[in-house]
Amino acid sequence: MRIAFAGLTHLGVCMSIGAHESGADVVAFDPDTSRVEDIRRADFDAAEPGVVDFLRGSHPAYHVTDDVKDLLDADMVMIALDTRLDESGENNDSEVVHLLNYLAAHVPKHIPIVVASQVRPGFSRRHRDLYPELYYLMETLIFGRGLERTMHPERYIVGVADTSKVLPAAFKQYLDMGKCPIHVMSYESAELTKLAANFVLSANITAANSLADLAQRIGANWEHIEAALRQDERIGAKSYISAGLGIGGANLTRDLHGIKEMADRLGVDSSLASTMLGHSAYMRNWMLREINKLRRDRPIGSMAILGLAYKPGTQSMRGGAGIDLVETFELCMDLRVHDHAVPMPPRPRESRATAVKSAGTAMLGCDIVAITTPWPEYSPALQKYLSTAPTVAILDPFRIIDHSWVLTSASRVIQLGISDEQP
Amino acid sequence: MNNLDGRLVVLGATGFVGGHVLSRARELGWEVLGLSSKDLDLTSPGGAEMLSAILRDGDTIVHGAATVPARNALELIQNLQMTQSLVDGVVGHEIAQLVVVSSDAVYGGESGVITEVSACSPDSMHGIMSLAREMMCLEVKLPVLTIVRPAPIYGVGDPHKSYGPNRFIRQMIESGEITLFGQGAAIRDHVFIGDVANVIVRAIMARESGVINIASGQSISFAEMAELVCQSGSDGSHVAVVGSESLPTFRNYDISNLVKMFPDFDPVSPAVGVRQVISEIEGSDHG
Repeated sequence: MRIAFAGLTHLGVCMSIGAHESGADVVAFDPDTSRVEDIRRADFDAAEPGVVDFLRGSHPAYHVTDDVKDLLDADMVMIALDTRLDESGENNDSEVVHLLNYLAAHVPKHIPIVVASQVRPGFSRRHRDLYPELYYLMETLIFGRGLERTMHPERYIVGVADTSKVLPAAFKQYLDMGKCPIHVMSYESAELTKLAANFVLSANITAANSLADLAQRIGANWEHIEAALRQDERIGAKSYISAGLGIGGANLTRDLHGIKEMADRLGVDSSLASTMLGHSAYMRNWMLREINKLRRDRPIGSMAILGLAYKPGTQSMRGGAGIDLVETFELCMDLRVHDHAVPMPPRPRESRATAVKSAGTAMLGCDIVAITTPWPEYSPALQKYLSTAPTVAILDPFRIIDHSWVLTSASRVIQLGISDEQP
Repeated sequence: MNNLDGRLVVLGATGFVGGHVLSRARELGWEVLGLSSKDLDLTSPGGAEMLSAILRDGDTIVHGAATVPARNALELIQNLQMTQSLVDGVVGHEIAQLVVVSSDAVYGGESGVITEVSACSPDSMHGIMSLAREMMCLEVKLPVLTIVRPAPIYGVGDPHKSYGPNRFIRQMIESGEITLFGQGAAIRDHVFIGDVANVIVRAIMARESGVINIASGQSISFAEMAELVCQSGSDGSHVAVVGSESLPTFRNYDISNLVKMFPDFDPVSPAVGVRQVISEIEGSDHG
């Protein structure tokens, strides 16, 4: 089977490699020559495990091209271009539409085209006139787990124009490679499922954050509560109830905006989406509130910022707490900033932020250490640092510090959801 | 760094906020013009013309002229007349910045955490008046429009003696007895007048536009505030509980936006602020 993937951004690259590794012949296509060149040079997010190694290797059944003619003998074409977010975090599907138009003009009409890009409900039905053999496949990629998720999906959700018709053989064959349940439903249901999943996840995160914030104030420990909740079958062991700095990343919030916009337009109450977005903004300021409290007790002259990536396994800073702190405090205190995967963007001339090569160097002699990305390598660095009994306040929203590492009350560890003043 | 291009014109110059802004600006050596209702009656029919004659291109205006709190329709209308005179008076002038001194009453009186994105839902005449003043000023075309919404303010020079630190401090000094309604469980953020003036001056220096809530970020209950005043006052001061408290509401501020805007700004804590007010009042009483 020969599958073409169109759109060589994060989603397309991960999906195409996944299909290759599952045994398909793959054409990785993008009309944008510069993107094709990047992939040929294996220039890709290094924090996505396995991808760069794969791209550096030689794979006769993985053909990277910007020539649309290479798609003519494909059994199906998957549009897997990541949908851009505009400045306000809204979905901007214009590039996906453009690509679909381009393919519709060049691909023979019998080849099914499957849209796996992040699109809003109504997209597939609206564009079906353009290309009758149009299908939708919900993507469930997670940054940092791209290949794993594409090769071992928990289920496939497929949107079709008419649920009474059978799927094209090639598409069915592709889905069968996933060895997982396949849910075929209308375009609208499948497209909404994508948003629904993110909405429910966001609701869980919001509930956890809200309660963890409360727990921290009343002498409780959210981690203990979380562990107990996970054993409740109705909540589930894998539920998104770890407390954090708001709803991380841009995809979940984008889909909340999407639901809100749709609901507002259709006269459906959208207050839950608004509440979650508002609470996420509030939680993102957790570090600021804690820093503000700390400086009531003593002046703060320097701060180490550990991590610029919005989460481990990605090079994206979007929505990350690290860059927020840099931008807020760079003019009024010395900041030492570390991230081994994400370089600090250029700073204004008067900035007092310096990028340093190791977490240990960043922390040395600082008044505050802010752990803004829980990179696994920070744990040993913090353990070593705490063994020197430093006088410091460490902001640890992700709770990566084990309290047994703390040797002196001069090293104060402030963790989200965990009161450091046990009653 | 501390220089201001052009002149600072403060409307409501003898008012609580206006007076402190004026003092702070003078300390910085700015060219200032303070106008009180005696100098310029903005409620009079010729108020706008008179203001227009006074204003110069490049002026920065702090609009602190108001009758507060507005308790009835008449006071609301008076306040809107003052603001209308301002709106009409700036026409034809190139004003560098307008700072509108508003109030957190625009958010209504419900419990909750308030930020600049909290919905405005005034539930008092004063709140409606404050929001209307803001909206009237939004109609003016200006390069920089700043709306500051302080939490309840305390400090020397407050003419209202409203329930809270100002009244507690005055009672403590005069009789040693602070009157607390019921349990005093309601929670408020009380912001020190010096901080309000400071933020307004900073907002002018940075030419910040938009809404800025000014609060301490350290809400406490009325009972805690009364206790704080007691502890900071003379020996024998005590709290007397009278009557009962209506259903208490709990109002907290998330001042993250203020921190982001002015990261080196450190609001005065209630304990420090109360001590400072007491010492200033006692100093002036003895003087």
